Amino acid sequence: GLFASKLFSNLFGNKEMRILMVGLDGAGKTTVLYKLKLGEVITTIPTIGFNVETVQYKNISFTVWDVGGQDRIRSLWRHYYRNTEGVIFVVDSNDRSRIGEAREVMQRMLNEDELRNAAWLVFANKQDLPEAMSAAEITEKLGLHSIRNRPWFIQATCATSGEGLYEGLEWLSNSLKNST
Amino acid sequence: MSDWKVDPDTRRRLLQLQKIGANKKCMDCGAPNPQWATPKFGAFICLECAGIHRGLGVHISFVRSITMDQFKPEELLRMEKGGNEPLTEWFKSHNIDLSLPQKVKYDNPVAEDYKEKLTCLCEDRVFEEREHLDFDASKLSATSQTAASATPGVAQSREGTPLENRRSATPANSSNGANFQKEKNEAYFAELGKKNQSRPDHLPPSQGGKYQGFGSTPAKPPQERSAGSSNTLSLENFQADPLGTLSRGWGLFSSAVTKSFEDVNETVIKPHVQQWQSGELSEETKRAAAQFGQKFQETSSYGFQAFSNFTKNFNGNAEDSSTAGNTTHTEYQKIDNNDKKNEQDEDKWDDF
Repeated sequence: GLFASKLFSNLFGNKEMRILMVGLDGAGKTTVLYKLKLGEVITTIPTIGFNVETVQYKNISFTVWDVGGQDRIRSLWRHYYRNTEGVIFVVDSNDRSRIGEAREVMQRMLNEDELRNAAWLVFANKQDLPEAMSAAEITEKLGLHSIRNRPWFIQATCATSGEGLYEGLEWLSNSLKNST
Repeated sequence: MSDWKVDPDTRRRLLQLQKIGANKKCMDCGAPNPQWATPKFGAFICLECAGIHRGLGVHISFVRSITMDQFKPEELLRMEKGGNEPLTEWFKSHNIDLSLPQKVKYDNPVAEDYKEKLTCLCEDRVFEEREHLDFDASKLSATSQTAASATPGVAQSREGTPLENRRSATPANSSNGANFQKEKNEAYFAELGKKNQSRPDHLPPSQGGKYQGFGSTPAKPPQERSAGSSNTLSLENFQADPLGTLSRGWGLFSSAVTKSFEDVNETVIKPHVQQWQSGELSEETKRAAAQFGQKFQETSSYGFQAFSNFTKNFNGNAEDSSTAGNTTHTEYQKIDNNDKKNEQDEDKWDDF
């Protein structure tokens, strides 16, 4: 049944894409997820474990896994790596004191074998705050230009207003088309 | 990623602190046993309020879990020197209503001063309280926007609907609802995207500028590239470095042969030898093995009989040979049938 329905939807050009959304605690991952899913802002609590939702965009069904970012539960992220086609790395653009830590975490993930083919999307989130670093500044501080073996993209976002989110999904869907 | 650990001493210290006096209840809502903290204010808060604090932005409050996050030494010190009680006292003495929403309560000059006071306490400095002539704490209300948080041009709330409430209101399970949601979302985000396109490039989004995006796509797909690099005997490599490639290739080949031989030895030969040698075989296995040995002897004796009969035949005793030959023949058939039966049984297991 599942196979048949999958085949059926594939015949009509529908595709599925498995997305893993990570980032330091409080970057806005859960807010991004539910803004994409519901088009509304929800009051979140720190994620202990994960949230997962499917988000329909054009003819692509994104299965987005949003995993908790607290120090001690970051070691659980690797359990979600398998079959991941795209990674969304969410950064709090307002948090200058932890951008170095974000870089360290992200670079470590870029070296993970199971993620070697995953498209890399960075959300420079919380752009509504006056002291937010620009997408260009974050590109430099995360060392995005050193990524050579895969497509990457950075998008300035404000998850609470929704700005930038669909530009990111648009890029992910294009990278999926190019890879198949 | 195994080195994300929490120092057990720090965690123990925090759990001790959390059991003292006013720290036993959430600073904001009074919920018992708060497991989260805002080190900037040196206060313990509950999970729900932690969610609200995170939404204020790290310039106002920064949230840590006392069990899942590693506190920096200075953050731990702030928790030790601070606590829920001194913060409560500070707010009360400055006419800040404790029941105000966090957005208002923690984002004002009085709250800002407390952070400075706590820093001074931790660094053994003298705190000098500043005058805030233009600030009147009694005028703070649940809906008021303070000077610090009001952003010109972009007047939008960072607060939202609680997820639980939102969820019960949507028929998320029905496919009709999902389709409706998809269309609604697409229209909504298309509108946002259009608006974004018309924003100026030179301003940051917080001042009404464009939400920028850019990136890079490698010219070669990554799959081809990795395949090329692992294949040392490629034409490209050969042209660039003929001798090197050949010797590398030979090295690869010979190492592969050695490797596979080792593999066979490791996985096939050694375990069996070990099994026969180890005394851990069950009685049943031993019996089966003994039976097998017996059968083997029987079979070989048939073989020997057949062979000797054959030689007898050869020696010219025709009658004798035909009867002897027949008996051996049937015996062999019997064994053959047994084998077939076994094969069928194995097939059945495969199907199962």
